[in-house]
Amino acid sequence: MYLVVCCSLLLLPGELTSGPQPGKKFGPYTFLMATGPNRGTSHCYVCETGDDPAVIILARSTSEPLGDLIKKLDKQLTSNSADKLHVWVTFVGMKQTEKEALIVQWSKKLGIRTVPMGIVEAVSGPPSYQIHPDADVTILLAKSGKVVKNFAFASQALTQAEGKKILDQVPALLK
Amino acid sequence: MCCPFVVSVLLLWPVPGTATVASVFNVMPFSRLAPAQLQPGLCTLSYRISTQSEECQKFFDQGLAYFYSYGWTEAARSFETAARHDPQCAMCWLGLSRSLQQWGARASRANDALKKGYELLRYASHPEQQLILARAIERGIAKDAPTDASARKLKAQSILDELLMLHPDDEEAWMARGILESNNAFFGGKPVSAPYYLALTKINPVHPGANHELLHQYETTKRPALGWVYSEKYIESSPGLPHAWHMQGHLSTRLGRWEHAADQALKAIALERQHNQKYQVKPHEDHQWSHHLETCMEILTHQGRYREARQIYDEMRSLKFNKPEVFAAYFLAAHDTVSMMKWIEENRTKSKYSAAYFAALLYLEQGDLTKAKIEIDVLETGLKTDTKEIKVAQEVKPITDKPAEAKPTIAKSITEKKDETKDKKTPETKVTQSKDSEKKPNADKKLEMRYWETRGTALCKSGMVEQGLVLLKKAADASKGDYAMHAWGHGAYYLESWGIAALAARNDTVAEEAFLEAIAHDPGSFRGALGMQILCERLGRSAEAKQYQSMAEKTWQHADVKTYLEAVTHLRQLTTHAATVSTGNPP
Repeated sequence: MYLVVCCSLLLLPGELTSGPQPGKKFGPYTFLMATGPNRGTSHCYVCETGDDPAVIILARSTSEPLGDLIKKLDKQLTSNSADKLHVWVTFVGMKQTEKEALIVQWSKKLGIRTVPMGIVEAVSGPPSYQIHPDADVTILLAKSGKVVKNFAFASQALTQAEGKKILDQVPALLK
Repeated sequence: MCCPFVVSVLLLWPVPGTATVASVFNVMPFSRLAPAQLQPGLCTLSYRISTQSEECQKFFDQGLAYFYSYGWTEAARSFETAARHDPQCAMCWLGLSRSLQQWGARASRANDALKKGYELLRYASHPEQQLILARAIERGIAKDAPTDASARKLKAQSILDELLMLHPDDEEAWMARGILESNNAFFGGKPVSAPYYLALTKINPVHPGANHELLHQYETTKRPALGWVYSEKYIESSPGLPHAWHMQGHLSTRLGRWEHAADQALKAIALERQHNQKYQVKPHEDHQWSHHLETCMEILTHQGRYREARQIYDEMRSLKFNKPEVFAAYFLAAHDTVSMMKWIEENRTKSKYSAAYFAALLYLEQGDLTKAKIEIDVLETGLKTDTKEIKVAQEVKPITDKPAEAKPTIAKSITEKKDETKDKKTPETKVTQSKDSEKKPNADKKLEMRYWETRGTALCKSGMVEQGLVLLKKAADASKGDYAMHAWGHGAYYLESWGIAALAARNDTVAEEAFLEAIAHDPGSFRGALGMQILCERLGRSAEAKQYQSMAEKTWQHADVKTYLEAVTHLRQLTTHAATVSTGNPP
């Protein structure tokens, strides 16, 4: 166990392959919404997105850098609503009945206005996504129904700097 | 002294809930039932009433337990028994009145029971007096009750509000206030009632009434995940009541938690069997029994647990419960061709479109396109001309098919309509009713989807794959946003059918889209997972194939191995032969 933890900490960004890769389609999936207007429902955001640009965050835990990234994306959503950008956060491998309240609290603590959060209970995430067991955060930038960029981070590998790199890619997505 | 004839008739006349011949002579005047027996372990709820009789208190609490689980008959029996133990117990008569009101067969005596409670007001505590007074005013039997129904409701509300200000911990006051807000509608009532039930859960987190109503409320408002916590608390409050276990299935099936739904449904009917046998309750006396069995059978069929589903089917037949479409879906899924054929012939005259649909599915599966086409033509004719059967089916369904629980919105509207017609028979009501009858029946949509599915499948099998898949997609798309479609064993049925047809036609792109959509809309979609497994195997995506295989195995973890292997073989054969029928639970 100790060895596994150490190994996962040693993984650098870009060394993990998790989720659909660039150029591939990302399949539809529903997840149990904890926040936003669809709270309490099993909702499919992929189905709503169509060809629009999207930032899909699949996370196994909450962290400060992840919170910062979401806050900045949330700000972008509310200030540029005409961009048709879709952003949502799916927590992976959590039991909805146990963790839902914590997610709601976390979202409130971050002061999130628009980005919805929810849970997929399966450890490997949405059925066709194959989220790597060591990937604490997997982020997909997508457009026209296909993944454009894929970022995967082991536990504690997502930093403020890595978050900025992702944010820097978003304007290109909106073009 | 009774004459011998009367005695012999009485001896042959089974009285509900009785165990002895002596109790035939012990029928209570309001409920016309034999007195209740105490059933320990039913429910944790206790509401202290102003009686010195321990027995009266116990039977009153038992009445409340049944009442908040919609066991109206047993609630009436318990309340009337409680009143026998303390004839001055005004609250017992209030409980009896409310139970009789809900139990349609004896609703005519509800006001009489309430009058008894009203007459006994002076023996009640102040909070009890307010509860009874509010109800008596609302029902128009109190001395100073306004003649106008809405004025009576307002006055009753104000009495209860004042009571809550004086006694904010009065659980019955919170429940009465919530129920009144929805014009006495149960099954969650209207959202305006929810704050009262939510407030009550803060006082008593395991109040069966509040949790049961909230569960329904979140189910009806299409937020099943939020109802889950209340379903857990409802079970915690009422471990001995079958309905509490059954209710979680209302949410589980909508959340794709099918195995959990099966466990709870089986637990519910096991409890119900035990209870009804012990207290000799006849099938027609327990209005929840049929619905509990029916949903259990649907869930087991969805889960490939055909042997257990068959046992439920046999039990339903022996109890003379008839749920034709549930039975047909089971026969088709379990490949019981003999029973399916028999069912089709029996239902030809009673429900020709339903019979034609299942016949079409059967013939398509057998590869008999000529016979299938005849059946599909019947469906097409039905869509074009004859809506009489559909309308009749729609009118009958809420009463005979899924009486109360399965269709909360319909049941609710019935309750509300019943209430409205009693209180105000105005021209406005008549206008609303006639407008409703002009609405396009939902059954039209059902028939349409069934037509698209069967016609689409037939086209695919005839080599007109493109046109066939278009029709199947149409049915799938129509079902996606249909909240009711994702429960009661239907899961993602049309999406699966679309995927299976595409898989057989070797249109891999469409097959993948359809199966992924099926899994997205029903995380417990066995055919979605199995379809993806076979597709990925064919495309050489072995890692994904294994993932979907384990998903399919997990989904049908309690199916017989033989059934599981047959399903796998059946779907594998589709990739080599052109047969394109899914055998899930057709809605």
